Amino acid sequence: METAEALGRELARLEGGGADGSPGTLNAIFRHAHSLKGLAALYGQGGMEALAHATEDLLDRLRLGRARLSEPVVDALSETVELLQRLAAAAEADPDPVLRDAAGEQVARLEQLASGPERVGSDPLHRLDLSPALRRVLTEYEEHRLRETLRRRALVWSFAVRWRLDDFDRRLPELVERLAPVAEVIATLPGHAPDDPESICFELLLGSAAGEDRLRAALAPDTGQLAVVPARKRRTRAELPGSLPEGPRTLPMETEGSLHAAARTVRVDIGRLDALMNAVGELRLIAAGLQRLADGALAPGVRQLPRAFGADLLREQRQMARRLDALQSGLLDARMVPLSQVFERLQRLVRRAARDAGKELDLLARGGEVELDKLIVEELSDPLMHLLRNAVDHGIEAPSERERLGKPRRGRLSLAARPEGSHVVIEVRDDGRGIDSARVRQVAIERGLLSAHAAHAVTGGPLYRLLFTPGFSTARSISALSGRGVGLDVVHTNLARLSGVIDVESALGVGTAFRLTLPLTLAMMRGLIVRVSGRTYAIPLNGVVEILALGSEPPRVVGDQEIIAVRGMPLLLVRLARLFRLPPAEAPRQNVVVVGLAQERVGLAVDELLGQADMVTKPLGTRLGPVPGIAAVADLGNRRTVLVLDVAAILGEALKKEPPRAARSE
Amino acid sequence: MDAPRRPPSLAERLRGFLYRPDEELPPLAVLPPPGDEARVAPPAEEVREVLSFGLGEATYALPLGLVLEILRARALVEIPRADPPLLGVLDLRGTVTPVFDLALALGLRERSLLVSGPPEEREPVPREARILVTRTATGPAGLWVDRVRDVVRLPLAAIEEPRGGPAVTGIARRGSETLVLIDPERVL
Amino acid sequence: MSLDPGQVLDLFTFVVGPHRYAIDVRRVDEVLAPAEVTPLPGARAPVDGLLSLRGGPVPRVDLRLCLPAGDPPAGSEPRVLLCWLGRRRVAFYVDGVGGVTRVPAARLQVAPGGPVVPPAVVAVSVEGGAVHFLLDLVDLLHRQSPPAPAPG
Repeated sequence: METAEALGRELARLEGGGADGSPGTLNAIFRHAHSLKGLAALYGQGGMEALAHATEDLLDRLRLGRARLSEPVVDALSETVELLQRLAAAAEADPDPVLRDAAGEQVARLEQLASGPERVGSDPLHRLDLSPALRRVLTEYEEHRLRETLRRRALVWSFAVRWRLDDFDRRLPELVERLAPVAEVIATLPGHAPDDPESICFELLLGSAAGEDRLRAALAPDTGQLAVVPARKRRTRAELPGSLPEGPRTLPMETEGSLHAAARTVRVDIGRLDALMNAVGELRLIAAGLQRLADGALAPGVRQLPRAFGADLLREQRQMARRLDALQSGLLDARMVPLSQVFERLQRLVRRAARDAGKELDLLARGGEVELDKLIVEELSDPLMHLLRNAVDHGIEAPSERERLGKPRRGRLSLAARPEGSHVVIEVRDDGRGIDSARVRQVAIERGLLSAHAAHAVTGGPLYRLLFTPGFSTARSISALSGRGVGLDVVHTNLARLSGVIDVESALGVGTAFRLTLPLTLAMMRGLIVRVSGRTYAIPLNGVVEILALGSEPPRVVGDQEIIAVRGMPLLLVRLARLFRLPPAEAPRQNVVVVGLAQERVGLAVDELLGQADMVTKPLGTRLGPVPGIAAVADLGNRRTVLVLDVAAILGEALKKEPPRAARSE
Repeated sequence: MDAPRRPPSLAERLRGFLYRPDEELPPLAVLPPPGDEARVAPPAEEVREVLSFGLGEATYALPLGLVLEILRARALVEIPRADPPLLGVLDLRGTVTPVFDLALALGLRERSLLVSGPPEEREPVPREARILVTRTATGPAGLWVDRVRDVVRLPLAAIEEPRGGPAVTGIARRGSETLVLIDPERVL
Repeated sequence: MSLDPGQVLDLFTFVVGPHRYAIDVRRVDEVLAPAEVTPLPGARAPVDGLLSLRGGPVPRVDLRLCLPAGDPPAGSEPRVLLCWLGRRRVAFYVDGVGGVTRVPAARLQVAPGGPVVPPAVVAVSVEGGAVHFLLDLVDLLHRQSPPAPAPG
């Protein structure tokens, strides 16, 4: 408990101290946190131990100069101290889970504050002529203080002193105190073994800008060998501020011009960008709130506020919204990386795979300059790799076979990306065998995926889409489909996670093309918020084609599907409540949100439309695995979390059940 | 004793300093008979730290090192067509974390809790219920438990062979109560 | 057992009188607040009684009687360290506790020994500006016991 209180006292001193925090105070806090951690561990106080540990980490970074002592840091530290004190007080009583939760959250906050980009620069310590044995025993903190000394253009001194055993433990702190006005004792290290069994020797490393005379004066009455730690290279240089000792043994030190190399790029953790994006998202919601206020003030009949006020408010709000747009674009830009990153890797892979498989081919890559969100690009490498490997292993024929077929000996594989509105289209195309529709149908029938009747009615895109169902990825189907089924369901899953969709085109004997359509960014999207059976969902706006009201005519039922007519064309209707197995809600009039990607359309029946919103999306997480129909989770501000629908997957599910004749009958 | 010619090295000096279970004790005036000491584990033996919690009437435990956080239980975000024991997900400081009904997964209950979805379809959340956010091979997973008890240091010797489902890794007795140790990875 | 210079020692530090000491952290089982001891007839200093603890009674040794006396640093609160000596536990009364710290062996200064240093000190460490004496507890207690009567 006292340790926690001592921590509090030191922190108060720190808050009063100013932006940099004196090393002494930071050290004191660090030591207390360290002790507290050890004590907490001994007492079995897990929550307190974790919190003290996180505090210690943060403080360590502060004193090593790797983090700045900013206001949020000081705030977090004082909250932490308070929490530690409460935990210490509660330690005698029963463990309190509420406190423990609070401790857990605080640990996370401290860890965030502790993480940060490393400073760029070269190490001036190399210029000091310190023996390797000495360097090895220095702690990180001591190295930091040595660098600081050099940065301040002060000198590093070494003082070898011998004391008697009966009072050295008193004389050392006295010496440190006498030196305090002129020098910092950076390290106290064992000295050479004394020949006298009643003495003990130490070597002190000092950092000082004062001259030798002043140092010796402060050191007295202790005597010993005092010398400047020399630099490695011998060079003459200009005078330093303050007097320099003359003498054969001493040489002035090299000082660093600047610790921080001028860097034009900064490495930023993507988590920080996400945090900033969250902040922007929240600001937008506030801006929307302000707009409502302004609109309210401008509404006719409102007498409380003068109209001029409302107009001013609206103008301010618009300015803020514009700035927010700029900020948001800037943040999104920061996350964008060119596809060439992944294309280069893929090209190497293809060359190696071709060599291994004994195939000869040329790979053309186009559109590497197209930029996508960093996370998307990372997630894309696996699916693209799959598709390319399939093309090399099974699509492109062996050189001899190609010649026999009258094709050029070298196969052609192309990887091309191009932007299309708010999407990017990436195409993987080969001029190999193509997909044998007959075999696909056969396997589909054998696996019970389609009835014989349905199988023969399906052609082209929808037929090839069957390749993406898990049922096709088995050894038997490899030979049947020339290996095309392998791993394609994984591709589909990965893409769905990115709200992307895949199309297949193929002609037997001519070649195959896979087309991936992806949104430019996942981070921030506009969504249409809808209510279904009391639940709220978000539909990505870039997947919404139009919104209709369900007319008075009931939908036509064909098999187990419902069809409605929209401007004379049939549209498949999907009741989300039924799809998600939710309890049905009473709704006098339902709305239909027509969603579509590429060429396909489906109408989603929902209970209520709640408007549009900017939302920051987050992935579902690795543990959960893909959830059919759900692409991500979105934060609507106000701690409201909703699920974002996976338009592509819902389309896929709905259309798989589509009876083959539905499109044509009237 | 003669003083040695050369001063002893650091290693020699530290020999007695460092703890060894077989070091020779000084003949203190009084030393109690060794019998009771066996119950308390000297540091040379291994000790396992677990977090104990309650499911229904029984007490279970998890290795403490796997527990990332303990949260107050609360309503979760519903995942449509979720397979039990998945109760829903939590947005944990930006990371979406699934939460599972541990009692259901262990077969202690037949029906899953209803703690997600619209308020009128949910059950009230018991005050003592907690969510243990645990580390698993595929990411963090939340485990819904009825109450959290405390951290227990179990000497390895106190843990007996498991009798029970595949998820049970051991049984330990602590005073009058029995702790069932489980492995979250196997439960889920 | 040889000690390589890269080895790092985990130490627990405490205060008795005006000096700071450090022992192998593995020895420390618990840190307790001072409590009543059952006086023990026949016990001789530095043992000053028996502590009743879960796991059995444990003898308590008052380290102030074994080590140089004096005023402890301001703010020190007395504690009892429950320590392992071999397979037995012994409690030690101290004037204050510091905490847990790690020191590389290369930073230790061998204390040559002699009557002037606190007894049973095997090395000296200076960390954070403070001098710590590394204490061999077993040796310290050996020194407290009266010598065995010489045979014949």
